[in-house]
Amino acid sequence: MLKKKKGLALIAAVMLIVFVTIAVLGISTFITQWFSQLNADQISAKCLYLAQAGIHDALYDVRNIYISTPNTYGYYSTGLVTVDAGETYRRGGTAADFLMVDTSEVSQSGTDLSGLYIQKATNSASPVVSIDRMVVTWSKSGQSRNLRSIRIAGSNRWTGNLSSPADANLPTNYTLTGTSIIPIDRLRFNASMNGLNSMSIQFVMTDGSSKTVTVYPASNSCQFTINSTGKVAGSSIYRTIKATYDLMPLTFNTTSRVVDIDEINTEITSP
Amino acid sequence: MMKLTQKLLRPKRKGFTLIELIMAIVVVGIVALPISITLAKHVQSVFQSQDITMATNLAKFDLAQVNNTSYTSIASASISNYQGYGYNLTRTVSYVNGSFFSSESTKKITVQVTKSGSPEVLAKLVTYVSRNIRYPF
Repeated sequence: MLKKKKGLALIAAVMLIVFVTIAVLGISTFITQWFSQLNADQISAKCLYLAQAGIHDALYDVRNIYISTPNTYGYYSTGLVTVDAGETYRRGGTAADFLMVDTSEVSQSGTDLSGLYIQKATNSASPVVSIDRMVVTWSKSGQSRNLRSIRIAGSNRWTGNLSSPADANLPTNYTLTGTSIIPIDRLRFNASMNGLNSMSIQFVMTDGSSKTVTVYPASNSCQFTINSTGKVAGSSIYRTIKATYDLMPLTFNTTSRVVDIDEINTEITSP
Repeated sequence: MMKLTQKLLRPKRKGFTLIELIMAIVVVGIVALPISITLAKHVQSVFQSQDITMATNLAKFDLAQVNNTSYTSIASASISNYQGYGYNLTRTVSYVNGSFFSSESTKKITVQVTKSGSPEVLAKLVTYVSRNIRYPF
């Protein structure tokens, strides 16, 4: 009987220590993870509002430049901007995001469709906004027609003879440089396009991105897309807002607006 | 004779248990001290985390309100006992683009939340809002 009691207190103490240690470790892990989650939630909220800052800052630039500078729809810069100590946003996106297409003055006369304008929405070198192909699709009553040429800024950039949908692969990619409005002078067809019901153009850019725009009938529209990622220094958490803005050139002061806004799960990492 | 033998043996066993108990108490004491400190810190952290959560929610609430306020009405403010939750909120508004007189401008809005009676900033959110930005909704 006495032998059995030997070392009982020490064993009980060791067991107690083991149990308490396990309990404390469990509580510590739980609280640490809880704190980590709490910190992540706070950073996440910060990132969202930083991304918003990037969108609003870009829209200010575009609107202000459009109002004050002739021959441009306005533009904004890409890259990293510090809003507050250690709190930043970065703007970027695909070439198609930066392609502005003004369809407000498009008209058809005889064999030609004219009055289409394009512009690069940034004054930054990156991304390069370069058109690789233009896929022109139209519907027309009466006899069918073929697309014969595309003239941009005074020069024929493509010639051929294609029916709808015409995949016009520009022999030399057309790169938009500067921030001035560039006219797509005309799309010429093999005969009169009277009876044209609708036309759309898919701009396929050299980076593989694309943008499809209904160019006929004319509509008061000139859209571009801003991507802004908010981040806090020392954290890998980010949040990105993608906003499409329509300048609506004919009624800019009263109706221009964000036409689509979403949060996307893509981090803008360059430029 | 038997009783004498038992008497002689018993104190030895009792003494051994006492030493053992003292050792156990010392060991438990040594281990318990850092554990107690850790637990105390954790308990403190739990209370602090509740404050941070509440402060962050209040800062988000204020910025949501700012986003739904007309641009000209967005102004600096210092509000005690914000929304009746016992936290103080400071909203600082400054121009980053243009000015009050510009047709186009951007305001930087910084919202900071502290607990009443403490200078420690529990939550801080920063954003920009530009003039004349309309949304589809």
